[in-house]
Amino acid sequence: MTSNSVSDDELAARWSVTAGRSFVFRSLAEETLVFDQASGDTHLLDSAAALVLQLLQGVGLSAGELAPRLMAELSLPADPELAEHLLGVFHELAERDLIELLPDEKRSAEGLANASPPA
Amino acid sequence: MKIRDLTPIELRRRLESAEGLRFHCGPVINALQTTIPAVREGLAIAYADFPLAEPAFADFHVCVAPPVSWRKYLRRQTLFCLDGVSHFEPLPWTQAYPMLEWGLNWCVTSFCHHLLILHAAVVEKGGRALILPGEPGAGKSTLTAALTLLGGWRLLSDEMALLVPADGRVLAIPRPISLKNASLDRVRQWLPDVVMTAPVPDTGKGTVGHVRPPAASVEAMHLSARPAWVVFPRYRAEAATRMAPVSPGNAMMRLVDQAFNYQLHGVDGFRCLSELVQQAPAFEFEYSDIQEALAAFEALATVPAGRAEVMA
Repeated sequence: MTSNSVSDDELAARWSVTAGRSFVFRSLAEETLVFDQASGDTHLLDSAAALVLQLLQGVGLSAGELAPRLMAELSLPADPELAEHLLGVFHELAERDLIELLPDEKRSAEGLANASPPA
Repeated sequence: MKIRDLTPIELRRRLESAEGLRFHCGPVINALQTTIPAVREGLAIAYADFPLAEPAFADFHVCVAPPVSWRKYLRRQTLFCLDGVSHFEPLPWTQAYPMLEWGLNWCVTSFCHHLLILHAAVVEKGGRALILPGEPGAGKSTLTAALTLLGGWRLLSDEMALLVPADGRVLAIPRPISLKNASLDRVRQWLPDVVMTAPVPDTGKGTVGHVRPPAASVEAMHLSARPAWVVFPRYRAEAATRMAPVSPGNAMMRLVDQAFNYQLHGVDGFRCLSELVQQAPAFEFEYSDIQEALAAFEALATVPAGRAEVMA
């Protein structure tokens, strides 16, 4: 079950590193620098967002699929809200053109965007 | 032999010759031609300690001269040319000397792409380089003048940090320190005997003057240094002296903003700068009192390498 603000479809939509992108990472304590070799842009991410980016290289994952992987990777206690939080990270990374919705999920997302609000 | 060793007649002869006056300027050799007295006089003042170079080779062949037109005689103008080509709009005749300085800056930032170039001043003490990025309103040149003329720091550069991408060393190009507007008076108050070119009013930056760099800094222009600190200065009237740490990540992003040619270096530039911010702690520095500022930087210089101190 999800909160009213996030649908199951959003949690199930798969994201991956934007096609053609490859990155060089440099960890700096709580921050990570990311160099986008395609654009030449440099990004500053917190370590969690940088880890998400690394985990989305070459593979499509949804927030629901990524959450348990992150919990295992970082030895985090179970957190039912983690998947919802990851959606926010996905959107932040997408705004920087670092990740994208996978094609099938794009069509689903457009459908979500055009859906009428609940009565 | 240095420029100061030339007689006025010989200086003029060389400047008006086909070969130009050739002199070392850090990692580059300039060949300068000019018939304009203000340029010759400014050069004699600001570059007095710069060593002459043999005429066989020069990196930049530049010329500051009046245009070949009626503008040579009426509402006179001056041009800056590289290899005989004018790359800029003409400026009023009275701005000929500053035009030389701006033109020489442009030559380095436009063509020395084997180096990663930041808009920053660099000074050195004890073999450790302090990089002062030139964000707007920073007042870096005023602080640089104080550090080098009063604080015993060696001037590597007032305008640009020249980084060797392969190993992160900073090369020295200790050209005259450019001051403008209120900074001119401020520096004269600290040092009434400061050697400076005649201030030129009404430029795009206001009134500008150029301070002769310390002779010892020019003498040591062949010595590079390793970055030990990055300090983002900000002069603010009546502000308390304050040095606060900046995270390496934020320092990196701010340095990228101040880089002239970061994009050209690709991942090598990324590695060079990210290595720099990991090795050199970064700070924001706000000040209004120059003596307190000098003391703060002196305290920074006494901290052993590898440790960072926060000055309240």
